[in-house]
Amino acid sequence: MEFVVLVKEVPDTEARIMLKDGRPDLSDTTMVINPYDEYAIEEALRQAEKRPGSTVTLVMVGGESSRKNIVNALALGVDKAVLISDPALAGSDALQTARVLKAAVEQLKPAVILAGKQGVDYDFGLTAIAVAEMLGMPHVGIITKLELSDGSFRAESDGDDGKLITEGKLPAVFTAEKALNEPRYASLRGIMAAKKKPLTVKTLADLGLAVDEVGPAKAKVHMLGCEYPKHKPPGRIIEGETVAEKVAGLVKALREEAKVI
Amino acid sequence: MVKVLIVGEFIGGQLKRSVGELAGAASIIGRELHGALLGPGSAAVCPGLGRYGVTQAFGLDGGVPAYSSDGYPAALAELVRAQGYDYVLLMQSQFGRDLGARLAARLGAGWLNDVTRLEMAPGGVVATKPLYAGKVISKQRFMGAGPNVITLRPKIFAAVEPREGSATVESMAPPSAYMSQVVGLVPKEEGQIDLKEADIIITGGRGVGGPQGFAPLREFAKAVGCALGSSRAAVDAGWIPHSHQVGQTGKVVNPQLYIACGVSGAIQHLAGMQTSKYIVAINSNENAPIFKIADYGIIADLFEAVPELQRQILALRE
Repeated sequence: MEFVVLVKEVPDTEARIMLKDGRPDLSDTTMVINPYDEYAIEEALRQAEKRPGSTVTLVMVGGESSRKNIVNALALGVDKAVLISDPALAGSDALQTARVLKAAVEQLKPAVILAGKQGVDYDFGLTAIAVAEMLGMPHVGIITKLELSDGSFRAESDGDDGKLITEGKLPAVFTAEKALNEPRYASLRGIMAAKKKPLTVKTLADLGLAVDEVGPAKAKVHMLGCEYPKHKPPGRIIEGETVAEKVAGLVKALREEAKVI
Repeated sequence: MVKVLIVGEFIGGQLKRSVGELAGAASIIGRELHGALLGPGSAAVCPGLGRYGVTQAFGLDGGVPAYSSDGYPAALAELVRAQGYDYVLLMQSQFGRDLGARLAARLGAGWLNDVTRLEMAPGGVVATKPLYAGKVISKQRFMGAGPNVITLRPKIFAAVEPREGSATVESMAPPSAYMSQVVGLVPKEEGQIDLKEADIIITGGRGVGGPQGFAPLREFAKAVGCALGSSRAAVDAGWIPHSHQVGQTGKVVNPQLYIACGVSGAIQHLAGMQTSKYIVAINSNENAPIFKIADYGIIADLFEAVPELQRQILALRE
């Protein structure tokens, strides 16, 4: 069975985001594989291990600096990687990125496409779902369990009012919630093997896409600017001789000042 | 005239309270308001949209599955095209984010989700959208002609109060096919309050010490009637399921009152809860960073303070 995992790079979740001229400046920020994509990679590996002869391919839009994170994914057991790198892609929105990914994924003819439920940068949660729409495939978002059989799937996801069970036909796209699995660590053997695994770099031209289809000129949304959230004035520590006294002071403040209880 | 469609949510034959927020947000950007409800039983709920200012309602009902991530957006896209809506508004719920994203992809529409503010400016709608789980706040606008799809962060927009009124109701054409559909729904445990909807949240961090350490917090949540949250550290340690996690790789919440117990205050946790109206920190370590953003702090052992807080709140309510 052919598996594709869509991966993006995001700033480390512990990182502060620097702003320059009102825009995020990530030039000095450590970039990591999007945390939700790690669950997508793990799920693809587990499902592939159950089906000998399967291949897991990672597909990412990035640049030369993305090689390190790609090799890290190959070390986990991913078989090969496609890095889509083209200067024209800068400033593209999620739908444009989805068109590019669609073109790359189509060539691989996967039965299953996995991705994280959202990038923990812009939190759009759009790209993988848009790839499904563009490929004419069903999708299930935010899955917590996936069962595959010949030509069909059964997936569990967290809905607003309970757990949803969805059935459909393959090929299909799934986006991963954190609770889907527990990602593995790379083994020493995996790290050694990773450097020899195929990593293909593709440009827009390689994918048969025109340069003027991407980039800010045809993006549907435009960011005007960014700022840091306004911080509240510092609060106060409620003192007291005993815990009961401190709690009494807190309850009084919540009742009389904040009026929230 | 700007035409806006709101896609409401309902449960057990009742509109959810978020419909008021959708109507409130819609009134900022348009005059003519239509509404849609999708799913079994929606037709009966549709007239109620009129109480929120909706003049024309559309229901997708009659033999439709509980959800289909391809079929529902396909039907909705047809409606948007036929009616020529400029904006479609949904909630940033599991339902709204999924349906809205596929709808935007199908229409080739602009997409801004988890929006916390909408303004009309020359050149169109300007939306405020937190990035990096709220570490940065962005202003964004749509480019070119619509339609555009927006999802609202819950409990931010001023809700329209229901009043007298009734909407004209029409049926939506069902999609020609379903590639996938929801075949089963396992309801939530009785009495469990959703983090995103909760007015009060009590959260445990590394300081609870282990899975049993959540017991007094669970007890508090049950007695006071609030939601139970957790930091990433406690989830990663396997003390509590991920569905309780608040933060950048968990849920982003904004209750009236957030009570952080034994939570140190890592930046990725703060990102998920700093918009809470009031933050209380209970921690035995007076140097914990959480105290810097808390409105009220208590330096105490949470195992003493939480049961005491529960007792005093319940006494107050009597």
